[in-house]
Amino acid sequence: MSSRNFSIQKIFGTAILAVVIAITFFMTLAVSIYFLIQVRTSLEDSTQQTIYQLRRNLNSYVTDIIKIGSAVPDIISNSESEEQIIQSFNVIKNSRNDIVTIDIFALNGELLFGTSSNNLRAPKEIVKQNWFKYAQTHNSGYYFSVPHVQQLVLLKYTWVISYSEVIKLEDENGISHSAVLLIDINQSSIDSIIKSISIGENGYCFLIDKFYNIVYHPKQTLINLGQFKEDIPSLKQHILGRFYSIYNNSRRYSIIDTVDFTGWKIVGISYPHEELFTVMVPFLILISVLIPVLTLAGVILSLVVSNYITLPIRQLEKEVEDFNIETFKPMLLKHTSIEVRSLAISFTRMAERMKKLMDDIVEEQKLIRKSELEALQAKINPHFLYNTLDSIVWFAEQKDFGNIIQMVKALSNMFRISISRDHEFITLEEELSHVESYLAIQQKRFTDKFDFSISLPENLKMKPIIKLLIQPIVENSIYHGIRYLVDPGLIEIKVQKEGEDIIVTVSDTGVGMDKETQESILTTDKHEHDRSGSGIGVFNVNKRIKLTYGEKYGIKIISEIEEGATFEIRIPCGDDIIPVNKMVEL
Amino acid sequence: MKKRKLYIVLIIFIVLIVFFGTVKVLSERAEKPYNITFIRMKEGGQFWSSMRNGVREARTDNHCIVDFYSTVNAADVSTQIDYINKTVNNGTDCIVITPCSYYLLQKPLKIAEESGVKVISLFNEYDKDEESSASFYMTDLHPAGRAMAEELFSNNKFSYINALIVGSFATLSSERYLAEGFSEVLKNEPNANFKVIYTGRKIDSICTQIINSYKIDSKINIIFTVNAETSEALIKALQMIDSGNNILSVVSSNSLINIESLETNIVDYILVINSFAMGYQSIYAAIDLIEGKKVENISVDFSIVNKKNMFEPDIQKRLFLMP
Repeated sequence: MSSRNFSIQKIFGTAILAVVIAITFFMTLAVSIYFLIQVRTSLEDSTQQTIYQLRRNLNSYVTDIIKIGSAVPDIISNSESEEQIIQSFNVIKNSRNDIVTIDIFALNGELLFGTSSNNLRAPKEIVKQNWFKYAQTHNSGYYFSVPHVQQLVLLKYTWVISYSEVIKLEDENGISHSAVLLIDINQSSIDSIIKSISIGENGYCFLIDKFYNIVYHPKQTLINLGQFKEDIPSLKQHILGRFYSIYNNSRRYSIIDTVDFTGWKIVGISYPHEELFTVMVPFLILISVLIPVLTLAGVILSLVVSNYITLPIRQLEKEVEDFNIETFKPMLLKHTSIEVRSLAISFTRMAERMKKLMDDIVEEQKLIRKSELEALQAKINPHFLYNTLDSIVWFAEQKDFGNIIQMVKALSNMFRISISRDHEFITLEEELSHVESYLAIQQKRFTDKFDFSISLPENLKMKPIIKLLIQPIVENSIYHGIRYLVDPGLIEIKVQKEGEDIIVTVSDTGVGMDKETQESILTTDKHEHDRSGSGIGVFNVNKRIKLTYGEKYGIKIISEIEEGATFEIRIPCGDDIIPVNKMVEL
Repeated sequence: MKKRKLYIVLIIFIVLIVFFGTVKVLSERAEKPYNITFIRMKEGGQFWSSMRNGVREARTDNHCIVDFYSTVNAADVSTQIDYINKTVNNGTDCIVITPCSYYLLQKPLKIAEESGVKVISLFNEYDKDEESSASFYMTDLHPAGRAMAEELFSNNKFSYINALIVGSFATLSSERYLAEGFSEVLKNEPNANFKVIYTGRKIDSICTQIINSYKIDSKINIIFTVNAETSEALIKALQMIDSGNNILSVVSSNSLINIESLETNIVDYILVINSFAMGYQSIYAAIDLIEGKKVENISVDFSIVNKKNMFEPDIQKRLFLMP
């Protein structure tokens, strides 16, 4: 189907629907992107806040342990006996659930003071342990270990994180000796600090030491038993800060921060895409519901709007279909737009013009028929015929055969032209021949009353003219101009070409007429002329010319009282035609 | 005009139905996790507890539902059959089981498979159809037995080998495979003899059988026990046997008594089977089976521990499980 076959309603409906769907689509896209960016930013901020909070908690905890360690030399120096020192250590230990052991070892591994007194491992085993060695070698003077199984007491296997530090002790003689302080922390205490922190749905935090050994991990058991590996290589590439990486087919967001004093790093892992998916599901469901609803609204809107627009057009269409020029009334369209109303008004005007034109045509036809009737009447004017015949009888009684012959010839010539009913147009020569016959008869009737002359150039003889156009003018000149003269008058008929027109001039030396009469002859209808008794033929001739050739053609009267009158008949100069009589002969 | 409107309304109606139908189906599918049944032959003890913990961890990772069942008595076949029938009727997707019996569980598990339930057998096998794609074994401990024996011969000098391998039941595949793996290596050694005995699960009885075996053949210089009960009985027996430290003893399981015996030189080696990994991996395998994926052979993870390496970072992680 080509596009020209679409209805306006369909085009409007489709366009509105397309616009609604496009707007819905782009709005959804824009809102979704904005929402995604917001959620992602929020998740990143949330992860950062979580890590920051965790760092504060761990710093606080580590600082507490360091403070306990720094208080130990004072406890020893302020205590009066070994029992008092051990008692003080036990008090600290018992006051906190997280501390497993507080021991002080000599550099040879011998226990000096501490809470682990029974069944202790041999000094040679103690000095081999990392916490003992690293306390002496670490630049900071203390050491935090990774989780390990405590190896102090035989057959006791507790997972601990060791804090160890070299401290200075004075003996009874005031000589300073180095010793190693060990505070073992239950690993679960670190676990409990970090476990309480969550990052989104699937995110987590873990701790590593500066050698990237894991201090804490929520999947510690899995890691220990070889079922999970953390993405340590990517952490080695990003010492601090934040980054995105893909690990185990998941895109994840990592933030690395440090814990003070320990060299540990906190690593926060979040899964923005998984979190986004979780957050986006309700949003997507909402959008998924909204899209059909908006589409439905779009469909309804398109139907309503297209109906609103096309209904008046359909009304207009119906009006046009039912249009009848006879019964037409101005359209009264309801609830229309300006454009449709304007269209209806234009149509109404057009219809009114059509009606007027049709009325004019009807009127013209009536006039033509009337003119034809009058022409016919002119052809068989019984008075003219009676008078002519009466003149012929008179000439016969006078045995004036010459005049009888002339009049009968003239009458015969007139009738020959008049009875050519099928031909509306005749040549100028034929028309003037008819006029000449008429004038010849009238000249015989009005003896010595007037003379006449007819001038027709050779090249205009075959030009067409409406039949019996000049005779009524000549008749008017005789009856209303020459007739009232005392002296003989003159009637001159001249034909000449003026541009593309032909001017037939009928001049008489009659009594003339005033301006008012001149105008009334051409514009006033028959009844008024009846009263004055003149001008009927002139009015009809003028009307016939205008109906046949157009408004620019017609009769012009130039006259003054006592100065005669001139009638200029202007008709278009058509192509030559064949004379009617010749056609008859042919 | 009316016809066109009707079409539009109809299309919208269909779109809405399809949309809401799809959303409903998807949400139901997304909300329905896999239902897995985990049936142990025995509860209690480091080995079985660790296996359960592994299953729990995998359950958390995969957001599936796992129903735990276990018999008190490792030979309680009828209770295991009841558990199988019950869970099949409840519409479980997969049964992960350590069967009590090689052949008595064949029929109920076959029925389960026929009803569309996948079956994974841990530690012990049952007599299944070889071609079955609905079941999977995680029982092959041959490599662990072989590795244990190779460790012994690479780090110890023997003038002769007279080994006693102690298990509980010959019908327990994993125990049998451990013993077979160990024996395969022994067979390649010169002057090597070995004897495999299956002694049940009662510690005193096992202990007596070990002592009697030693009394019968006092030249026994290697004793390898393949489970926690036989290991505990061996420790007890070693304290009663005056062997003059001539017996090289290998126990299985990271139970506290084994660790303490290692530290106090009562035993020389501990073979730690990573039952946590076994349980953990069994759930992943179960999900793969349910989803119709091919499950590749999964080797059983183990560690060989002696007194020298017991506190090494990697070994202590396997030996001393975190709380």
